[in-house]
Amino acid sequence: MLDYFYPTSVLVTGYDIIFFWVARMIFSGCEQMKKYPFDKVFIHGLVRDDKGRKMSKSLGNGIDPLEMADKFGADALRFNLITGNSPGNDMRFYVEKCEAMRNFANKIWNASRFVMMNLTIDEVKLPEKLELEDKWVLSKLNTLIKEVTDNMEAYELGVASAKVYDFIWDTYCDWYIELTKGRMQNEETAIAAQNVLCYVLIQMLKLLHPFMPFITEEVYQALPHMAGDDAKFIMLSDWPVYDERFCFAAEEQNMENIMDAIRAIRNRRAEMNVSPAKKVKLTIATAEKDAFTAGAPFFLRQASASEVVVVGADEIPAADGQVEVITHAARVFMPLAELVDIQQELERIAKEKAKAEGHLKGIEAKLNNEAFTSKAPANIVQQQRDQAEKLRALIAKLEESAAAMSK
Amino acid sequence: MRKELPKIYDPQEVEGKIYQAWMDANCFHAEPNPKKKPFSIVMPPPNVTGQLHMGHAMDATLQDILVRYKRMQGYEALWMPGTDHAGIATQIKVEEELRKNEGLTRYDLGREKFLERVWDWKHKYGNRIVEQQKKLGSSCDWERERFTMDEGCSKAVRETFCELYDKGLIYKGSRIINWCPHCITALSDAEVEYQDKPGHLWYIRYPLADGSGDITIATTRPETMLADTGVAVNPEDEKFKHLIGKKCVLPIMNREIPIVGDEYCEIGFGTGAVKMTPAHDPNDFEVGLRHNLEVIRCIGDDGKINENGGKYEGMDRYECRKAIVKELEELGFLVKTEDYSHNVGTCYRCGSDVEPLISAQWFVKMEPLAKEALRVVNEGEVKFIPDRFSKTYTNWMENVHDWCISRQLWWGHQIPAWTCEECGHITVDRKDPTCCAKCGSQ
Repeated sequence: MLDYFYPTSVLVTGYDIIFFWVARMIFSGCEQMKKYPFDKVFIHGLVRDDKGRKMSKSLGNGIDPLEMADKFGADALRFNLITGNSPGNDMRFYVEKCEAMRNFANKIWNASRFVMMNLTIDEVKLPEKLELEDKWVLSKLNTLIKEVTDNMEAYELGVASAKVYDFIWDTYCDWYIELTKGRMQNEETAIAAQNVLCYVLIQMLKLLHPFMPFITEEVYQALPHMAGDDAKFIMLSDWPVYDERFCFAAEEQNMENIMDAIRAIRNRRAEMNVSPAKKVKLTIATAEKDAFTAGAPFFLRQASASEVVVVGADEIPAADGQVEVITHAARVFMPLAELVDIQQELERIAKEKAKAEGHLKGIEAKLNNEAFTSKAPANIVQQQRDQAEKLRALIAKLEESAAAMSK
Repeated sequence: MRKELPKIYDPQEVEGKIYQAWMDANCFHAEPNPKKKPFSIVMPPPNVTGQLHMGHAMDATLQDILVRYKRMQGYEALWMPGTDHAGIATQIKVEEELRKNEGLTRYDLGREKFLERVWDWKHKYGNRIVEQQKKLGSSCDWERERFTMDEGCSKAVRETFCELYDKGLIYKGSRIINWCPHCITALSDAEVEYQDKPGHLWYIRYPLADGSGDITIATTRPETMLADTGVAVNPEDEKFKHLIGKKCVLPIMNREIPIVGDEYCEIGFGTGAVKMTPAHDPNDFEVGLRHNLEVIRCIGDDGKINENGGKYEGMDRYECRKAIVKELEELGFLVKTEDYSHNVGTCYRCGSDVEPLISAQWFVKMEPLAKEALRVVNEGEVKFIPDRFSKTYTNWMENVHDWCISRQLWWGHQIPAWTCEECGHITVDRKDPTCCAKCGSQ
């Protein structure tokens, strides 16, 4: 045993233990075993309360980790302790962050259930033909695998876990799942989509497993496994490895451009209060005509487009009556008349403005009343002043919107 | 038929089940495997008295992440778990229970019966922290779980002690050690916590033996003056150098003590003259060695004045302090009193003020051991992550004092040393000796 495992690989301990233990272990190992005891010493900091104080009995500010585990799950507690922290530094423990990590666990759970709904495959194999969005997600996954592995090797566990978190939440749940919905209707294309969805999900679960062992194991047990890698437990499966063949730089870039445009369109529509149910025609002027043409279906599904017309970068439609959204790769035009019923919108703005003005009048009356300003506590008076400021700003914005619309 | 995931994720429902499945399938076990590269972590063993706190959770999580990662990468991954018998912490816990439930002390039970109680306690509660670590998902090789007082460890400790003793690296010596009068044990430097506490500086004049005047010293611990065996001044100090070699008379005890010149004294600090109490202060002890000062101890293991304290014998050290100050004042030896905040060492376990005392204790000679321990870090064989902590380590190691390893505790490894009643010789052996190695008596 000793021959094989000694010196050990790493000793993990807090910086307050260096004299008590680490130093004594090192000279003891050198003297008694003629060889130092461990290759590396990985030092972490202390866990402090949300105000930055050391947890102590006398302060009564200690948080029981088992209580946190009972309430939010051991995985959420573990993820909370690691994410966003750097080696050697103290961290502050926020119960709200534990809650957020619990929500993250739920998100993974829900996404997994969605993928498993109507699953018809028994084994996961990547399809011969990969669509644009497949190449995009596989390429990003590939990069994630490389970066996370590098981070782990450098003991940057907090950085690694944050990257996995972002990928799962943003790339997979918020985008990839949405992007594949179109293919799920058709039996043939559904199989291909299911395979890629499962493939990426399994890889993600593996990367997440060291941090959140329980939920990843539970989900893994319920999924079909990859052909040729049928480990019974995810904890005994193979760690994902970077593969050159999954480097799809061009497709990745194209997809990102499309996503940028979709985001920009959505943001503008939200600003203008346009319901997602209202579909409008999109004219996209871009140098990447091929990419955007291939991506047209995404605009139909994700950007509430009724029709997508892709033109060259210099073939810009006339500006009148068009709402323009600009990204670095494209200029998107939407007819204003289709977006909003101008009359209705003007009426709505007028109503909101009237309401705000009425509210402001009431507050101004209070502030002009000396009996109020002199008798009420200072913070309450300030609150009213702040509220008045907010209302004035809102009214100004509404007037601006109305003016823009009347042009 | 693949299982379906329920609508809501319920960690309570899932975690226990999954952990049991891992245990049943022996997923955490590791064996020397020529086909795989090893990756191993030895868990810093938490105290058997321990309840899992956030620091443990952090430790366990970090280790588990690394082990799981490496296991998945194809290493033969071993995470070795264990618990620490935690000498002073455990003993205090069991003593407290004994006192509360039965109104008894460990002396009432005697060593053997008391140790039985401690093992009982260990069997009942010692597993708690292990179960708590499992709840967090720790993938330790539980089959191999160790306890710092199990047979293997006990044998190793004894073997190591004897080896070091034979090499001359362990010795019994006289040193000023940190003594806790409440826990009744010596503490290593690392177990003493320093705090700034408000106190006083008392200026006391010691009359010169030839009647030509006084020399005034300042002290925060007047009760120790009962054991003064000298007064030191800086040899370059214009105020005092003419007094070096003369004698002064210690008030109350009326003992003549020499005035010596030593660079330890700072010119202008306090009065410039420092009373020397070699048995009660590490610096005084060193000065005493240099100038052959007598070593007299006036405070006992229990924190009370002993037989060398004259009429103060039996008094608690702090009561004595008050009484001495009063007497000095009445007799006209107290020159003045100042408020003074000073750094006091306290016992990390019970918080009592630590009493620096001369005592016969066992020590490990650190200098020869520190050399190699420094080399492996300086030459990068052992790496600290982050790197800046190697500085913390080397600074300590370069200034390390000999390590006091003996404790006056019952729960722990007994030092394998026997003192012959006949000739006083100490025998250190791996096996219990039957007769004295020196004089042969039984």
